[in-house]
Amino acid sequence: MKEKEFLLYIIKALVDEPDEVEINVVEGEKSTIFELKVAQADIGKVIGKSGRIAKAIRTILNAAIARSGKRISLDILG
Amino acid sequence: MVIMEYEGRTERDAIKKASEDLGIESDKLKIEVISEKTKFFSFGNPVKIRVFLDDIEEEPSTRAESFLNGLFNTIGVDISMEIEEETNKLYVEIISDSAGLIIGKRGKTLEALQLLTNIVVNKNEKNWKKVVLDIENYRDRREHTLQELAYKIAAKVKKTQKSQLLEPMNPFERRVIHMALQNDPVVATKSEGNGNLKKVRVYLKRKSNHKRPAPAASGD
Repeated sequence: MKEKEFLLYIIKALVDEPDEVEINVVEGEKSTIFELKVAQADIGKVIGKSGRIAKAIRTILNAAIARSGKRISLDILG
Repeated sequence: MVIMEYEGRTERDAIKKASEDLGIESDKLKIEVISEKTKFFSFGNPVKIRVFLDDIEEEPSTRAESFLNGLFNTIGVDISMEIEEETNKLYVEIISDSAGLIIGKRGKTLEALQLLTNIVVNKNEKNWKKVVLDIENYRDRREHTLQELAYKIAAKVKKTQKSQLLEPMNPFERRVIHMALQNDPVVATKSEGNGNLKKVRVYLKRKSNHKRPAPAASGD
């Protein structure tokens, strides 16, 4: 799934421990849920100050998936 | 991996040059001699060496370019880039058929992409280099649109004698509005709200304020 690759690529570029990045995709009828796991020390790097980075990632992911007409949700698991 | 070539009168000479230029001690350099002095009397032919550097720091422009290339590659969007580097800034102009998709509604996607590129480029760097992304002159066009909006709203405020609150905007966009109306004798602007996205209010200056300097706009 190319959206998963896309997300994986962005997250790996942001974190210090790219090998620890894991993404689970839960595909529903109308929405796709991306469950993201990163190293404990990297959680702040993907969320950012008041969630700025997480928000930017969601925005870009939404744009990447827009053509399919689906909604996405990105859950960062701590 | 970066490969650099150096020349010297002798091999030792070339290595010394490389060492000085790169700031790395000569015994730590990985070197290959590519043109040796063949004859004893061939003083005209310098010795050429190649130096292999694997852990050299990538330039910010290279990092920005490879991050964006890789990113668009994963979703199969074709882009090319033109990068201009200044002391503290990197201008990246993206060229693509999918410009609309990359810009997004009111530039939201482009802003998000710019934020992430900034973080990736400046990761583990001491000196922050601001990355500005642009596509199809979007920044200029957006600035122009915002200026037009500012004049229109100012006219409305003057006509209705009531202040107007604009939609939430990022610092760059708010600045355009403030700048457009800063010399207007009748209306003033200020930012309201918290966080990155604030709203600009355009309001009537009080007559008594004409003689005094207007209070500074908060937030920006």
